[in-house]
Amino acid sequence: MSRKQKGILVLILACIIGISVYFSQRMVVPDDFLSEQEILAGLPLENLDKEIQDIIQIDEKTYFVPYIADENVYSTSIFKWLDGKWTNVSESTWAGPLLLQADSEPYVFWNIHPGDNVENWELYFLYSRDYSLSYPGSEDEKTFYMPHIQVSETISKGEESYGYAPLPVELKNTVEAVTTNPKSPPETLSFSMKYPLSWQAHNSEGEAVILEKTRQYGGGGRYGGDYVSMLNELIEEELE
Amino acid sequence: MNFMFEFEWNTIEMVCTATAWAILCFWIIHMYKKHDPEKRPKKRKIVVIFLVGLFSVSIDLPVFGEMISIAILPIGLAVAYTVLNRSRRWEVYSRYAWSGFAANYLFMVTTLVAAFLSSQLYPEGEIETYLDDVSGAELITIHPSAKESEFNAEQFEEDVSGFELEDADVIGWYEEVMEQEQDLETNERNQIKEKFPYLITGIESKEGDSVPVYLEADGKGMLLNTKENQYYYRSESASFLKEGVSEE
Repeated sequence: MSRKQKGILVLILACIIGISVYFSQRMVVPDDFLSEQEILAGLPLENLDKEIQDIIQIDEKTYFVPYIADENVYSTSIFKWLDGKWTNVSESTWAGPLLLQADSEPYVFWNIHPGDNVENWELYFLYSRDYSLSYPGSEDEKTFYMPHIQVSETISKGEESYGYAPLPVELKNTVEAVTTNPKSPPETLSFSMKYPLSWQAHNSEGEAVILEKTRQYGGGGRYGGDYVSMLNELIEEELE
Repeated sequence: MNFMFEFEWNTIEMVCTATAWAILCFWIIHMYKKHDPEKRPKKRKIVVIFLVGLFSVSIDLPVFGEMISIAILPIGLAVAYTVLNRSRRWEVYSRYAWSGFAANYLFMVTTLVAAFLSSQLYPEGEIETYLDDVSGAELITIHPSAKESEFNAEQFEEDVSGFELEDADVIGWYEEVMEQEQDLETNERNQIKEKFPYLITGIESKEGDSVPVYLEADGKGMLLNTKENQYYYRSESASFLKEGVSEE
C-alpha cells in the first residue's frame, strides 16, 4: 500500500468515526433538563408574566411543563429531545385533556383553572355506526358494517390544576383493535387520528361541567408534529 | 424501527421468488459449463447481458385475483442484438440474453404458483384461515346495550369450527337501528340496541395478522375484519357467551 493510499484510508476512517460520534451525541439524551430561565425563554406570549408550576418528566425524552400566564391562564407545554436539543413541541392555553404520544405509550395531560371544579375526566372512544357496499351484485361485492362503538374510561384529575395519566389500557386496546383492520378501509370507515377520542369533564357530584373559567380568556394552542394532538369535547347527542 | 412493522413479509411469495432465482442461477451456470470454453464470454458480462435481456415491455393482467405481468416486447433483447450484431458477437451472447427474456415468464409462473399456494394454505372465506390462534382472545364490551355476559375462552376455541359464512345484510342491519332511532325520543337514545355490541381482540390469522372480531348480541354471529375484507359468520350452536355473571 502506498503512502497516498494509507493517507486516504486514514482520512475515510476519521470521517466515519467523526460522523458516528456526531450522531451518537445527538441521540444520547442528557440527564438534566432546561433551567427555568431557559424554559421561560422558549414559551410564547413573551410580554406576559409567567409562573412555572412544575417540571414533570414523562419519559426519557419528554417533559411536561404546566405554567400559569398572566395569573389566570392555565397553560401547558411539552418539550421533546429532538435533533440534539430540548424542543418545545406543543403549547396550549385553554384545552381540556390533550393526547401525548410519548416514546412507548400514549398519555393524556391537562392544566385547567381550579375554578372549574373538575373532579375527573371521562374519556370516550366513539364511532358512529356505518356501512359500505361496493360492487353490489357482482363477484367482487364487498360489504362492510361498522358497529356503533361507545367505550369510556374515567381518569381522576387529582389535586393540582395540572396532571397526566397513561391512556387507560382497555381504551387503548379497543382503539388499536378497531383501527387495525381493514388496512385500506372504504372511505367512510377510516380514522383521521391514531386515537380518535373525546372527553367530558365531571365535578365531584358526577355532573358534566364545561371549562368556563379555563376558557374565559380565550386562547389557543400549537399541536405540532406527531407528538401532541387535541381531543374533541364530547358531543352528548352522539351517545347511545 | 418503524419499517419493521410496515413492511409485510409474505413468506410464500418470498420462498417462491427465491426458488425462481435459484432455478435461474442453476440454469445459467449449466449453460455456461456447456458453452465451448474457447468462445464463452466473461462471467460478469453474462450477468450484464442477462439483466439486459430481462428488460421488456409487459402488460399487467388480473388472473385469479393476482396481478400477473406478461412480457410481450423483448426490448432488452432487441437492444442487445442491435449493439452486438454490429461487432458480430451476438452469437456468443444470444443464449444468455434469451434466458433473461425467458426469466420474465419464469417470474410470471412464480406469481401464479405463489397465489395458488396461498389459496391452498389460507383458503379464503374459511373461518380457520382468520381465527387461527384464539388462545389470546379477550372480550370487550363496546356498546352500552350489551348485556353483562361471561366469555368462555375454552368454549370459544371449540365453537369456532361450527361457524359458517353467511351473507352480510349490512344495509338491513343499519336500517334496523335507524328505525329504532325514529321510534325513540332524543333523550331515549340510550335504549338503542347495537347488533354487534362486543369486540373480541387477541385473535391471529394463519397469515399472522391480528383480526378484530365483532360479536353479535346473541353470541352466535361474528363479523371479521381482515386486511381487505369483512366476513360474516354464524353458528346456531355456539355457546361461548353466557348471559349474566357467574357466581364464582
